[in-house]
Amino acid sequence: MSQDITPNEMNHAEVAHGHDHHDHDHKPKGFVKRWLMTTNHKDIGTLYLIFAFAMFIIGGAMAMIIRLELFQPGLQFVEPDFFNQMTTMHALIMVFGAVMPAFVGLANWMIPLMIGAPDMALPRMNNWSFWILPFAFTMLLSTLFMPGGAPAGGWTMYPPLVLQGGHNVGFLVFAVHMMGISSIMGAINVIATIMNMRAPNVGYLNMPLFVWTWLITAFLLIAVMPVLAGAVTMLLTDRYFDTSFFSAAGGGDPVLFQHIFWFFGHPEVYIMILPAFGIVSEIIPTFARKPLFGYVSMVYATAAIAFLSFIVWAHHMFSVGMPLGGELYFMYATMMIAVPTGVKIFNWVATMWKGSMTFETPMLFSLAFVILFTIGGFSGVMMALAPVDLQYHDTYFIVAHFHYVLVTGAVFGIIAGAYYWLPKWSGHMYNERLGKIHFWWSTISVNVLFFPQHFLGLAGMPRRIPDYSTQFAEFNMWSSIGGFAFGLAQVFFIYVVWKTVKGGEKATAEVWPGAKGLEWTVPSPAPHHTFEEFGPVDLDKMAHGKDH
Amino acid sequence: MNQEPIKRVQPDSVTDKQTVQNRKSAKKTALILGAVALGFFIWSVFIVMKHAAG
Repeated sequence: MSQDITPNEMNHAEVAHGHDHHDHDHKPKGFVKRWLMTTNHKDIGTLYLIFAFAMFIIGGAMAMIIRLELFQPGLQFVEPDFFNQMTTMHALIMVFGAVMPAFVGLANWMIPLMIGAPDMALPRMNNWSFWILPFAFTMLLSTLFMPGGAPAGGWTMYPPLVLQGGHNVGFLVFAVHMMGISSIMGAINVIATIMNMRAPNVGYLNMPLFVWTWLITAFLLIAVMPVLAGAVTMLLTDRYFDTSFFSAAGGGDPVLFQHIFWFFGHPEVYIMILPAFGIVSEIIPTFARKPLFGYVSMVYATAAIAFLSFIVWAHHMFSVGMPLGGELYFMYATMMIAVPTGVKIFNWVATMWKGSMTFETPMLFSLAFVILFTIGGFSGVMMALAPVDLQYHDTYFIVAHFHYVLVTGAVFGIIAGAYYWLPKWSGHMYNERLGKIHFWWSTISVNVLFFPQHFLGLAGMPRRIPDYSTQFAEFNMWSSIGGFAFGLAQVFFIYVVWKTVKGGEKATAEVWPGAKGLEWTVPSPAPHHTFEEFGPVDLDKMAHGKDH
Repeated sequence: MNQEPIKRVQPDSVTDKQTVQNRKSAKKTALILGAVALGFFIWSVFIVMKHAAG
């Protein structure tokens, strides 16, 4: 494509592809070359998404074991130690194996398409970032078959408890190291791509919100994943090399581990939710048929949330004991996060206000996200209050809170994004009726699963236990029924996705009428190579290409 | 038999000059970010060691 031809003069699908010839996809032949050695952002994105979904199913199966044991009071199915292994592994797998890789997969697929880049900036490192993950999780999952079993001290890995495990500690630490390296390389690639590979006329304030939220998330990753790596390295030396970083007997401080862990852990929460904010900010304007309300304020709110996430970590450990001034500071700083988060919620509502709304599956999941994530946010504000947190701490109220944030927040955001972009990836429209069944099945069951856990927590049921007093029986039974139904709904989701990939109504390039964004200017399915030659793109096709 | 010399082209690479230039800048960005990440790792260990020494 010659650069003096403006994109407006050409068919947009051709502009995106750059040229027209027969063998236009250049897909490497053979499984090894195509998938193991791939440097293509779309293929690597697909690998990440498949991997994340496999981990989601494994982590979900562990959740089913947990809910099965908690269906009734008493010990029915598993030993207490195995139950603890399940809670620990479920969390590690869902956080590091499912949610984070799913977002990296979406970033790989969509960021280059959204900014008019031919690929990620560092394609070979991109391949490496992905292929580290299967080894990391094989290492982690192999601990289930070791004498002494898998780690059982909780995903927070607090010493001295975690150090009482067998040799799973070494495997856990190395697995975390590998996941961390993968995440850091992925984050570096995202930042390098956004900063260096945008089409020449795409400025920072022209970028879609999904790109913005990922840019900020990537900075968070680079700042906090190395801190986690440092913390677990010191755990490793405490376990195997007789150091005493976190051993009170040797002059160390176990509480310091909690500070270091949560300096990572709180931003990690936003690492898992900011890209979902970005996805929802793409979907709501499309189905409300209105531009996103307050685009620039959305960018500032995302940056503000990211900044605040670094200075609130100790609200996870009010009960450990800290000076009153510290408690007050962390309480008020935490409550401040509600302000930029509120900006986002109100902007989404304002985007929908008087819009010509339709309720396709991605929109339904986005609406559920807005409502249910806000419920998780409200319980978060409740827990920010230091005096009352002493009541909630380590109860099922906490479990309810973070599952509203991470399941109806992060996971619903991922599912919404999957439905929204699946036609672009596969070239086929998914079956809308099946999508809606999946939505209602998931939304009803997820509330039956997690809402009663608020009441359990307020009534004093502790988390991470396989048995409980009989007064908690009824809500636990409801919660388990909801859990089994939600698990089955996700098996149904596999069927919907499989059916779409295999065939169905052909998707147009635009997919959603009136949708804005460069990704909708390339054919569906997106060709193996897009935006191959550097040149300006048509800003009119971008949601925030010109005026905000 | 005369054969055209084989050009080494990565199957998924992009040969456009400006893109190559952008990738060079991206490598610099990546190196800086890698150094920052390493800095955070060292800082976390340093904080704990300082605390233990005090």
